[in-house]
Amino acid sequence: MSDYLPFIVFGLVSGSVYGLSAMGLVLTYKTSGILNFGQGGVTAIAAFLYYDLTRNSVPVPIAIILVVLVFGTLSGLVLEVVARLLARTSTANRVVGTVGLLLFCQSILVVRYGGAALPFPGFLPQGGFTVSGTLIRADQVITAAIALAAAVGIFLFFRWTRLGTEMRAVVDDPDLLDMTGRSPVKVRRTAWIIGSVFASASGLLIAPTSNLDSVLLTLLVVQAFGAAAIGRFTSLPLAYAGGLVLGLLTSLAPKWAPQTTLFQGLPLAIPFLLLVVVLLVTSKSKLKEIGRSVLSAAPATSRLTLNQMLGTGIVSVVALALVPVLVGAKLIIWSQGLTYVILFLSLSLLVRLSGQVSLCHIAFQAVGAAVMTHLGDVPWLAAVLIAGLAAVPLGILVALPAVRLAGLFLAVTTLGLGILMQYLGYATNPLFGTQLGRAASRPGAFGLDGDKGYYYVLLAFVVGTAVLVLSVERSRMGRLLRGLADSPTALVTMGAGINGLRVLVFCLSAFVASVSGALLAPLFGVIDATRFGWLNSLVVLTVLVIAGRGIIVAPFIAAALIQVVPGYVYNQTFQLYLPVFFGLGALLMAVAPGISGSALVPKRPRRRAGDRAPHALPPRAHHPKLVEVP
Amino acid sequence: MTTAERVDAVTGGTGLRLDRLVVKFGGLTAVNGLSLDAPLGRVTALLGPNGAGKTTAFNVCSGLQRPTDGSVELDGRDITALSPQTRARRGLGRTFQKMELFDHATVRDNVSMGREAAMAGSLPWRQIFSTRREREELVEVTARALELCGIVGLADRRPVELSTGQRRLVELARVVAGGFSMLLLDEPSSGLDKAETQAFGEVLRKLVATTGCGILIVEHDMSLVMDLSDYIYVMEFGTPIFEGTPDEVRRSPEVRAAYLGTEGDE
Repeated sequence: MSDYLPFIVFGLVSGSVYGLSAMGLVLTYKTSGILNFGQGGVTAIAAFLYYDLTRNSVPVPIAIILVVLVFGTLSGLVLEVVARLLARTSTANRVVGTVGLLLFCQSILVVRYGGAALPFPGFLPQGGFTVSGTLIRADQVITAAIALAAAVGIFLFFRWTRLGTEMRAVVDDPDLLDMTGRSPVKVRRTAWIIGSVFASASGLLIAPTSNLDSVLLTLLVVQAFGAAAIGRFTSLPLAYAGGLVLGLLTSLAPKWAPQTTLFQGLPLAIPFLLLVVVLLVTSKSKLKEIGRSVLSAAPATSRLTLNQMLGTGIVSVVALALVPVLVGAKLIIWSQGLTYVILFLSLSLLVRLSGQVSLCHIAFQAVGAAVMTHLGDVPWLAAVLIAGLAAVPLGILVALPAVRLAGLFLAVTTLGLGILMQYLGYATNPLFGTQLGRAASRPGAFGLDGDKGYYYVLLAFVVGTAVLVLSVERSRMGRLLRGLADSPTALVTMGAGINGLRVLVFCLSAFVASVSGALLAPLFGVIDATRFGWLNSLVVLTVLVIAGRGIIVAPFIAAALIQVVPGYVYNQTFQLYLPVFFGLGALLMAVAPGISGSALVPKRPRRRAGDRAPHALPPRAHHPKLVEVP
Repeated sequence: MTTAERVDAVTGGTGLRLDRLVVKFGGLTAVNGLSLDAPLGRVTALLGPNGAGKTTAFNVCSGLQRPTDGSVELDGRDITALSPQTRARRGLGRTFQKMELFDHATVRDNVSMGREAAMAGSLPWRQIFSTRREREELVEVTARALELCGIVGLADRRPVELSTGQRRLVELARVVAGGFSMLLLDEPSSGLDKAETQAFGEVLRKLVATTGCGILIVEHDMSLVMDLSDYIYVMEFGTPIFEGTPDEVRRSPEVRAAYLGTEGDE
């Protein structure tokens, strides 16, 4: 027992912080319907802010008050406005918005403090006492006590105060609450402030053990997701308990798992595993998406004729074919750009055509690249195909439990998968292994292994992928997906199974992303896991959103934004600020429809002159769904 | 021979039957022991004021809502446990009071999807590809459905541009294209004026006459169902209170007391 005691103590303490963070997440989600992926950003900024204040000789108690209460309150106020605007948009858009927020917070910290971890001064008393040979420090006791107090406090608050009752009411029926003369906005604002205060406090409490690392601090939101999942994203006490369970598991797992380097990442993978298990075993009726369901508008079919499209396509391809002649030594940048066009096309297929969001597309790309390095003996084309297919089982693994429930939970599991892959998956032998780098081959024949030759191979793949996406858009699948975006209810009552359709398009997207990785790998002498970090998945999503709505055009713009432009601009400040712009841009794009749609009078549907339309319905976003689609 | 007569003829089957259906939401009983028979080739109506549980009963029929007790039968087979899409593929089609149209597709594509959704079913390869023969069938079926419902002229418009009456016809054409043997129509006359309601009734009559399908209409408004239906069930607060032919319903004191009130004197 005493063997385990240090781990149990450590687990309970870190679990307390996870619980605190999870309660903040659940509280804001259940009152506003917005699951805040950006909460980790708030946590990280709070910790860094404290670091800055104390370094500038602000006394510790005042710094704590400034960070937890003042910064927490202010960020809560801002977040409430963001959430209010996002609540009027589709699930995919809500995810993009808060993911943009996360990216913005994290990258602004990198701009300000650099990427390396900074030492965080412990501010709680370190003295302690010994229980059967294990030292229990005062700061640990205080941390656990704070979280417990918060949990009890929030529980009592809900039971006994008027505002708490109103908060429960706003969950059940905001319109009804509105009619009693109490403003749902006011109630939600309180929830966001409490949530942000919890998030800020958890940043101060976790930083002494994790140091000031903006990525690790941001990751706290994933621990919170895992803990919140145990409470089915709605129960506060269970979210707290979930935090403790998660803390114990992550602390004890390394003790049980084999002592190899492979399992070093296990603690970070546990929240994801927990999430998937909970999503798998929870019945649909128990885990519903909160908030008014707004369907994403289906993309209108392209109005270009086939000839116009063909013309545009040919001109673009000819222009791209001239690139190797014109750019000289910069060709590698353009070649990378082409592989990213393929990646973005896969994401575009998913996001634009089916309204689903993936936060792990870089992980799929990594799988393709890694598998490609193992297939040197296989004919080249076959190798690319096999490497592409390698990501499909992973796609099924995340999509299958999630699509049954709702788009939101798909986003959550994909984020978890991206992190799992980075900390646990990449180092396994079927992928990159523990070598420093692995080489992949280019096609051998016809001089295609030269840099110019390979560029044209990539161009051919880009054309092929664009044709694939276009034909999916115009195929039965495309029609069904557009139908799904407009009215899933109508589709099922006419005989189409829609869950399979969602998994199908997700797997197709994973396949194409993986192919892009397989094509990327041979560009370099050797390739390793470092370029496939989980945050990059968020970057590519935000860039695609910024690049516009065109299902084919946006991927080209996005690839230029993320690969070609930075390749030409050597300014380091510019490079550092890029993700800041991407995050902020995506956040603004996501809230924009909320701003334009905020007029009190719903927009009248567009009508042709001479139409008699006395009873025309407002656009569909304004009436909530009556029935749940199984 | 009119084109309408070539719409898929329905063969066999006995239609839809509900047996002592009960639906409870927590403490609230939305439907309390509803039994009804909606045979093929007939128009059956389920009448009741707002909040009587009609739409809930409909959602149970099409599988969007699980009943607390009781069963749903289609053509003599129990379908209570089947998914909505399976029921649809067995021949049960429906419309919605709040119309569920594909607002971003043309009217033609909306109607065509009525058949294509069932062709796609749940098998992956069927959801990806369509065969040439299927595409030809879609064109043909769509053209017939548009004509039967009299909306050929709207084929290239989008539903957001149309009036409620026109949208109702689009939704009807979509289930007509689906070739369902049993159609559930949820308050089709709501939002329509008198002339539109009458025209809609005409289309329904033509539909039953040419295809032999069965229709179950849920309505709170009397005007459409009284001269269209062969048989009427009346509900109030979730409980069935009367059934009979339109004439019997009109004469029934219970119905008059519970529901018709002032409207009955029209």
